[in-house]
Amino acid sequence: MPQRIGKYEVRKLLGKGATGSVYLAADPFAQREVALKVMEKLSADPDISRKQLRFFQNEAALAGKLRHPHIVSILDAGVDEVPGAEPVRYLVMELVDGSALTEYCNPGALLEPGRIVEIVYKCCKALEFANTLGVVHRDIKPANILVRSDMDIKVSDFGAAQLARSDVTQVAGVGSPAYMSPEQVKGEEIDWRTDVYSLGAVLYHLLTGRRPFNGATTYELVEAILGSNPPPPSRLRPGTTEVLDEIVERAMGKSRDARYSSWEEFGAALAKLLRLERGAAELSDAEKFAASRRLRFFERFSDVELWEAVHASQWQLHPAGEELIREGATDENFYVLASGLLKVTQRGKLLNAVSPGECVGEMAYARRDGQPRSATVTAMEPSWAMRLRVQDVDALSEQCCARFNAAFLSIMADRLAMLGGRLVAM
Amino acid sequence: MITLWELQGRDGRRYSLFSWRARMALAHKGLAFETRPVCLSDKAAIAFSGGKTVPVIRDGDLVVRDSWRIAEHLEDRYPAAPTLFGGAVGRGVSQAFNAWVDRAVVPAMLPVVVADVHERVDPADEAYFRETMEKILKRSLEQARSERDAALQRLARAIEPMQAALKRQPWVCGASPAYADYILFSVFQWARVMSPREVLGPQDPLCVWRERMLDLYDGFARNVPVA
Repeated sequence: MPQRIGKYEVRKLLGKGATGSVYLAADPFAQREVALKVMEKLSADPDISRKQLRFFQNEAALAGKLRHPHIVSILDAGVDEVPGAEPVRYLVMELVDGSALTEYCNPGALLEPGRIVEIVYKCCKALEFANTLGVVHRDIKPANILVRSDMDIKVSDFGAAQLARSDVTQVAGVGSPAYMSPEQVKGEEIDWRTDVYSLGAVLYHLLTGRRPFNGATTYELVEAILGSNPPPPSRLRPGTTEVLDEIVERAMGKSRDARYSSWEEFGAALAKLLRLERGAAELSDAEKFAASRRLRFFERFSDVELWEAVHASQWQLHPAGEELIREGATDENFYVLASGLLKVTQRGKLLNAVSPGECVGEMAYARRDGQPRSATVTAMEPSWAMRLRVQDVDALSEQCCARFNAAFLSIMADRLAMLGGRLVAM
Repeated sequence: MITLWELQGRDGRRYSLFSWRARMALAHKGLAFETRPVCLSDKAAIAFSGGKTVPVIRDGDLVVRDSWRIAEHLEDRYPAAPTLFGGAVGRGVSQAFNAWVDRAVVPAMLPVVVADVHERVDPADEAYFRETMEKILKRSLEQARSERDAALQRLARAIEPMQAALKRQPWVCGASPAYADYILFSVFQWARVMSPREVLGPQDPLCVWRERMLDLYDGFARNVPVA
């Protein structure tokens, strides 16, 4: 094991695969641990070595670009010249404490459907983000989706990706056959809808514990992908809903036009299902994200910024009559109302009603002077509210904090405008 | 007669953005006042107020410091004069707006104008101003000047919500100007007084609004020394 690669101190081997080895390493400048993926030596076969180099260049080209909470960040890439030997090509990636989703593909270790839908929803939003940057992954499979112990996920390995506006020549014939779309196995032109298909195939595998298509040979497998339909998941896993069958069928449409017409549509179908399956008192991350996306407060947040906000927040269903903020008390929270209705009172007198998409308690964030609350905020009906603490928002990225500031300013402007009539009257 | 202590730069420029809030509030209330210029580094000049920053007013026997407290004082002491807040709810919203402008807009404007401000502060304040600002910005004034375009873009993003609001209505407070207008205006007046560079395009709703603000009270804010 090398002691050092580039500026990185190598600590231990994490894993070895067909394309290279992954080490746990330390970045002495940033003072953080990273995953260092070191490429295998180039093959003697020129076709294979060309493909190896292109894969490396592909991922290197994405360094610093695919910043999304559900995509493994590529932080750096480099080539270490070694006197008298082949250079060492390496990628520096965000270290993810977790394992591949393959762990949950075995019939004995399947996850419950709600959890699976949430995982696929997050993949959906990550791939939608990649697509907005002109990136098609082309090799979506359980092994390329990492899952942490808290079941949050990260899509990894963009080595096979198709990059729009890239100087890197694209490599054809990549991907893992079992999850490949019909157009991909035929070697036809592909677009983002090939990832929709593959994600549908991953969903199928996670639900049923078996791949949608199998074959004794690659030829048989390709024949099955092109010419047959897998049994619906509900037939293999009792309890799977027909809605889920329909989602899988639509995502895995044989033709691109038969699939979802956008990542947004795919995500919305999954989010709707989550709402149906979850209990009233618990929300998944995906539901929180989808609910936040509809709120006016977050309308200018990018998906990446919104995920940040969702992860930093605590969601709670407040029954009618429950106080979120009490006059005279000191706390460091503010709330964005996701559903329901709140009232603001001062010494018992009604000051204001708060509707979904509005915020309350933001003075704690703005002033930070430990002053007691000047009003009480009470739920008038069962209300979902996302609670954010001052210190949690401070820890968000600069861009995300700026979005919060702008959102608050926008709400202030609306409230001031509503006072306009009163000012004229007085 | 009310007395207002405020900062003075080169050529008699009154550049404290917080003092502009107090100035506009006094004008809104129709109250006569006189001003006493002070240097940024001359803390002794305002030691009587118990604080180290302007604005400070003396109104009869009362000394009040901090622009927000001054506004509250004027509203409470002169209830018959035009209201600054429009009642208790308006006071709360204006206070929140005050906090947000200070948190989001002032820090966005600072790196845009800071180098120009430095060139126009009183010569006695130059070293103090540089030291203080470079500590806040974590960069030299020269670096801030070289990064002005990026800072201008950040400012544009920060004020976007106000542009949207001022497309719909003539004033921040709706149909007529009030204290929240003065809060936001103070930031742009600060830039206008101390920087020769225009931060708003002519079609920008904020620019149109600022012109309206400058016309208020017989051009009270327009007719002052500017950069």
